[in-house]
Amino acid sequence: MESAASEKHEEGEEEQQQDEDETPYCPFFSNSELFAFMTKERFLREEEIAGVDESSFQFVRPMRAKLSILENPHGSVRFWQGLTCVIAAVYGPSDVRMSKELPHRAAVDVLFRPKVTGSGNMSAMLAAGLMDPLMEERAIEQTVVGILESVIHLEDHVQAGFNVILHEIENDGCLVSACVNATVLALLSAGCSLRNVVCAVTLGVSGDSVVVDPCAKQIQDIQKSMGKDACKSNGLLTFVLTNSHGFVPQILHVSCKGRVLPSELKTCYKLVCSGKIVQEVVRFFYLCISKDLKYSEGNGVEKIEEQVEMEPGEVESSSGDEVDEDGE
Amino acid sequence: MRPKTIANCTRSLVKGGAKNGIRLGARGLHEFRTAKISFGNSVGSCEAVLLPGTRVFAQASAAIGEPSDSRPGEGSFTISVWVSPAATGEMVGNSEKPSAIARTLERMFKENRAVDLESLCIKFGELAWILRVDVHVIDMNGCLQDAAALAVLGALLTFQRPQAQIDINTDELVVLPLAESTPVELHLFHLPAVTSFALCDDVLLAEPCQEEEDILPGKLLVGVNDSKELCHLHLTHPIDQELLLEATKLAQVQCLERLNMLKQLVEEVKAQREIPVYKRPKGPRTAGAELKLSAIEELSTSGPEQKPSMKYLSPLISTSDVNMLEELCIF
Repeated sequence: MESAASEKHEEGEEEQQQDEDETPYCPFFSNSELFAFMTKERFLREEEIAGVDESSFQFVRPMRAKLSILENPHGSVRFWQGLTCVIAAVYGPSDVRMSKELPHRAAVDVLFRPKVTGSGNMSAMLAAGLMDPLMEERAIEQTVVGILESVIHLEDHVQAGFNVILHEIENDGCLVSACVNATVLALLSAGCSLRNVVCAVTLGVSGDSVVVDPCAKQIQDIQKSMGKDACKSNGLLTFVLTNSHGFVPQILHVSCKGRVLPSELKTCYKLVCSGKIVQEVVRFFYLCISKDLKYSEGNGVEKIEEQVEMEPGEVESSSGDEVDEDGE
Repeated sequence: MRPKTIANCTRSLVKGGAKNGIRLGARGLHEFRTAKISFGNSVGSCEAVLLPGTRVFAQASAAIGEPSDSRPGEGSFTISVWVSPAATGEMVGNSEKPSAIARTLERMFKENRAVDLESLCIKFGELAWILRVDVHVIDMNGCLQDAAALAVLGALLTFQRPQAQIDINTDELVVLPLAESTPVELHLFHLPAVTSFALCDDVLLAEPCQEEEDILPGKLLVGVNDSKELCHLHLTHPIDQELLLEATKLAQVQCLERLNMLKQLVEEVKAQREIPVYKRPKGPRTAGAELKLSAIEELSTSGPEQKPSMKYLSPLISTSDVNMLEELCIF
């Protein structure tokens, strides 16, 4: 026993000695190389707002985005839709928690976090006649999960998962559609391959007019008149659309809050399916991503522009539109 | 995502480098990180970034509730900290980091009585404001406490609550909306800020990054307020007395610099709020476009696809069903 203990002791001493003997310099590099490595400034990209001028947004509120703002996640974005602001971060494809792991396809895990939590906020929300905020959060998460499950190539990543984290930073109406748009941008910036690019639009119907992408004040006006006149139709319609099939968008998700006549629903459907709103948003996505790639690869822009000519559909329509704008 | 593993050569690099006065990221041993602070559109929202890669968002809010029995003449103040999975990569939360941050913040803001809680009382023993700050750690690269303290302070300084009072005649609570009355700002007794050091034998490394925090054995947190008083100390490694004094001196200079920067930015935000709405420069459009239903009919016919065919709706519904539906609801 004693001998064993003393051996251990000696071993420990040796280790200590080794620790002390270790020079600060790594054995694989020369001192000058090492110094160059240590003093080299860590690459940190200047945060850039993908600036798209206001005039290119006819229908929805002007959008802005900062891509890759976070260091840890694979893809991240700070996304503005008017004054509504959301931060989205994506890890994917990566590990998922064991309970969510699936044998035949990748799992999608979405987490939405409001900026104010706790019971004080809850009672205030309930007093204002709104739904239970916790339920609303889960509803947003489930909406995003449902959309992503039909958009990501899940069967390519067995037992892996896509983790999406959404942070509410500012809420000025249309939080759900902002969350969906931010998620798609984050996925694109993480380099996930998607079946189609997806975008979300909220329409506020009140009386004989439709507000595309209403702000908080406009939503309040709609909800006020909701209670007053039972015969008048007032409601919020959220559409999530793809940009596939030539120019006819496919619908991935529709939700309605309030009362809307079928004829009005049809008109709204016509509006979103005319493809103009989708084009507007998807063109913005395209500009953001091409700007992001330009930074991450030295001369990546030329490569992208080559691809533009190759790819049909979304990219073509966007480039066509730009030409139109120049003409105007 | 599993936590990052640190290579042995990185360990020896960081440890050995510290002894020789060089560290990762081209900073000097006593060089602090660059801080960026920005404020949101809503009151009491502040985001602090410590380059590279630490980002904390704080939002202050207030609700009216009952004061605690032990302190009937004061409002209450809670800080809740949440480390986002965006920072850690693990969807299941770890309680270690948030509790460490919360403890530091509670000590600095609550136990040091930085906020005037007595001014939050509306009616003795019955009604008081319950102040709450939600801290979200969005991205993480060491120095979480430093960034969190800055964000919380920024949120408290820019927060405004509506006026609330008891009507003397009817003995009822009257809350005037923010837009219709002069909002009330919080009163702070002193402004605390904190900086951290990593300790490696007899060397101080100012504001370490995540790797340095993980590798080096000790950590020292020094909090200083705007009147140069020491208001927080937290040490996890035995160090020399001289070193501690040196650290407090460095922290004092740095904290004052940060606080001055923060004060200046808060002044700017407040000055902007003072400008009446009609005088503010016209920014980008913030409201959605309004269309008439009749205009949409024209719009959709001029679009590239004249009539979206029904076949995209669902393959399960046959055309006859759709016709029937259309007849029924005047589709």
